[in-house]
Amino acid sequence: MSNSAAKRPAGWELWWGWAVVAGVLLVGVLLFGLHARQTAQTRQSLMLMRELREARLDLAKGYLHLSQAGEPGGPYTAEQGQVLLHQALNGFESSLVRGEVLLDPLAAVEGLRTRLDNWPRMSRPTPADMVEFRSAFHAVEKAADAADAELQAGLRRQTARNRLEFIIAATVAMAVLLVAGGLVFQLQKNAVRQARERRTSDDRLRGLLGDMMEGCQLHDRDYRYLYLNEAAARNGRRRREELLGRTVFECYPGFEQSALFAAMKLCMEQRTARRIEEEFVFPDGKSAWFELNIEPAPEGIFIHSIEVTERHRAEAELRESRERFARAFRTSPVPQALGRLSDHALIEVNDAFLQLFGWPRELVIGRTPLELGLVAPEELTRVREELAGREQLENFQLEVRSRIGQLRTVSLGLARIELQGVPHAIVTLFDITERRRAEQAVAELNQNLEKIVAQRTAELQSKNRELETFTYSVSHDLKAPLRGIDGYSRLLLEEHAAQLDTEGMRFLQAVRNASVQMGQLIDDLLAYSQLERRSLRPGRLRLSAVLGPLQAVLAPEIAQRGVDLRVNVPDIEVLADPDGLAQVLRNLLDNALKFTRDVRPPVIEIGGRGENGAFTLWVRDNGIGFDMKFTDRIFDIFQRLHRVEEYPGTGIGLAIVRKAMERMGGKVRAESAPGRGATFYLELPTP
Amino acid sequence: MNAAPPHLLLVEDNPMDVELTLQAFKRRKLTNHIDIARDGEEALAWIPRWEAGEPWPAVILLDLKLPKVSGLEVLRALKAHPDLRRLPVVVLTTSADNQDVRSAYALGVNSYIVKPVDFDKFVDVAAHIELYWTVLNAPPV
Repeated sequence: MSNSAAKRPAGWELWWGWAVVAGVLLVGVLLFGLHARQTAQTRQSLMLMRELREARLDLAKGYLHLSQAGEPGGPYTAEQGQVLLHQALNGFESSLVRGEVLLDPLAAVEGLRTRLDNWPRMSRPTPADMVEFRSAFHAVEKAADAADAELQAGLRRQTARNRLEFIIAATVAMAVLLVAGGLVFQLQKNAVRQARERRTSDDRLRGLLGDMMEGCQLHDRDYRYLYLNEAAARNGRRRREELLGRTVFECYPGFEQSALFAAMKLCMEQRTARRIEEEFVFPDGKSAWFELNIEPAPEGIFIHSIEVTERHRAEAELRESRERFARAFRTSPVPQALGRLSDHALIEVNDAFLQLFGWPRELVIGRTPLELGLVAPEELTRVREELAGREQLENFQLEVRSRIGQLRTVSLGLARIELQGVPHAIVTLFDITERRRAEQAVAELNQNLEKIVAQRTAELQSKNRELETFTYSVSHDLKAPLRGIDGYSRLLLEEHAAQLDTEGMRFLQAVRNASVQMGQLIDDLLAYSQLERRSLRPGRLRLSAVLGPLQAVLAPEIAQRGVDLRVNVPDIEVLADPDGLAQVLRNLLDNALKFTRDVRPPVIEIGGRGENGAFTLWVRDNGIGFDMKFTDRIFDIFQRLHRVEEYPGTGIGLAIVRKAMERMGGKVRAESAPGRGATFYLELPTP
Repeated sequence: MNAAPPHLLLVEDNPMDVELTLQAFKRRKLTNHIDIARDGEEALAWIPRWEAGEPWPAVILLDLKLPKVSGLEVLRALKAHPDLRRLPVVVLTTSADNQDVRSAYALGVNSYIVKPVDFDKFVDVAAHIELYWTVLNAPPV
């Protein structure tokens, strides 16, 4: 049962109570009135009767006066009797008239008055007069008796009627009162019961309200606190005792200016519920937000209040945050757009986006890129295909068109997002037109460059081939005449020795030596230039595969010279080109043999040691050695430390060693001291 | 087989080399007749004669660097010939270039010898050639 429905019977019941009281009073007044009227009537009837009887007495007195007048010693005179009788008669007549006597005694009265008028004045009445007068008098008396009787009868009738009326009226009134009283009693009983019930539920409600988190307060029509719970007091920043029984204006000075009061006032006056969310500023300057339900109540108004300051702050923060992000989105220098995936409609775009495409915002929002011609249908299809089954796209290049038809290349980034359950896409565009242009220019340049490089390489290769041909010619054409010199000088020496003297023989020998030297020089130069041209391919190489053949080749010379050759190399694999390493070792051993020429006994040691992923191979001799200040020069081409006649050589051997080691990714260095032999170290990578 | 000792064909343009070669063979007391072709064209000119029935040389000593037609071209022509490809060819040249060596062997040369500058060694080479190709080797026909 709702509040307002529960209250209605109470109002009715009150009304009914008053109606019953009014009814009782009315009945009482009516009965009293009736009684008064009846009493008045009765009194009037009795008064008439008394008047009539007094008139009869006066009549009788007058008659007596008149009849006895003239008698000496009598107290009355005839005149007096006449006057008295007249007076009595008038009184009697008026009584009759007033008594509305139905009989007609007036005729008798007139008769008597006539007689009386005719009564002889100052003279003695005749007996006839007397008789006549007496009979008239008697007629009046009779009439008077009749009137009296009639009055009495009327009085009796009236009394009886009055009694009956009163009884009936009282009975009816009693009945009515009984019925109404019973009704009221019943209503009252119900009201009492309901009141009791209401009181019980009110108590319960109050208890509940007291524990509620929401504030509940009841104001009377003067905005006085009739009730408030703890939460309401908390909301009001006061203790309950401070507020109860006082008006809001007393408790909160300036309250009448607040929007809250305006709402309370409206509710109070118009008796309609209102719901408001308002900020309330307390007298101390602090403020708080409240959500208020103000409802009319019988006592005044009832207010249900919830403090929503925190929520408001959160909402305000959210609003601010949204604003911040919206502004960031709007003013971002990177073109961005938010679109619906279902129909591609653009929901939001930023300024940079508009600037890129040259469209005004109002024409863009709600329309699709296709409608605006921002992108060709096939380009859009490309994007859609790329996006299929993916959450996002990155650095997807496509061509877009501005409002004036300018084509731009953009790098598109796209991410799917759901907004209120609807799939959307946030799109970021980077204008890479300039970059693309630059890239193209670079690519073209590169292509040109490659063309140039290819051309130069071809030229170089052709030059190289020429050089090779030249080298080939050198080897062939220089050696052929040399072979002639050697061959003919040999023939001369062997077959024509008889024709030559000793000096001639010596010259011839010098020619032969020179030709050998030149042959050697040509061979070394060829080897060196071949190293330049050839690609040395370092591969897994077992050291014994190189050292074995080398020893075999050199064995005759070693044996002949009596060289103590000590080979102490672990047979492991290194990374080297077999021809290259063979050449290097050959040259080093040739060197060692050459420079131990004058040492007794010549000792040559080949050793090796692997460490840290590299292998060091060395060739050590106990020959003449060299000064370490020449350690760099000895590896340069044509650099020699000795005269040819001391130690023959071309000055190319060690240059070949260094070149070959470099080409194989290795290194060579030498340690020596004059007269203390020399050690050449070769560092080779291992597999 | 002919009763006369097998002859050789020397293809060599350098007269000095021709003479020294002949001298070297003479030193070895080689009695075999040596025909000389002074360039590639002359060498190729022998082919119709052999086809016509003239006796084949025991071996052809072929220089690579020749006027008109190079030694490698001569070698290619010989080795492409249905019959003459069986004729032993020894390249005798100054060039020790790997490219030449590979090309020669790819064309089917029987031996590749670098001419030594030293005359004594050259005499040794001549001796080896004589011994191997005219004495030890069984000729193809």
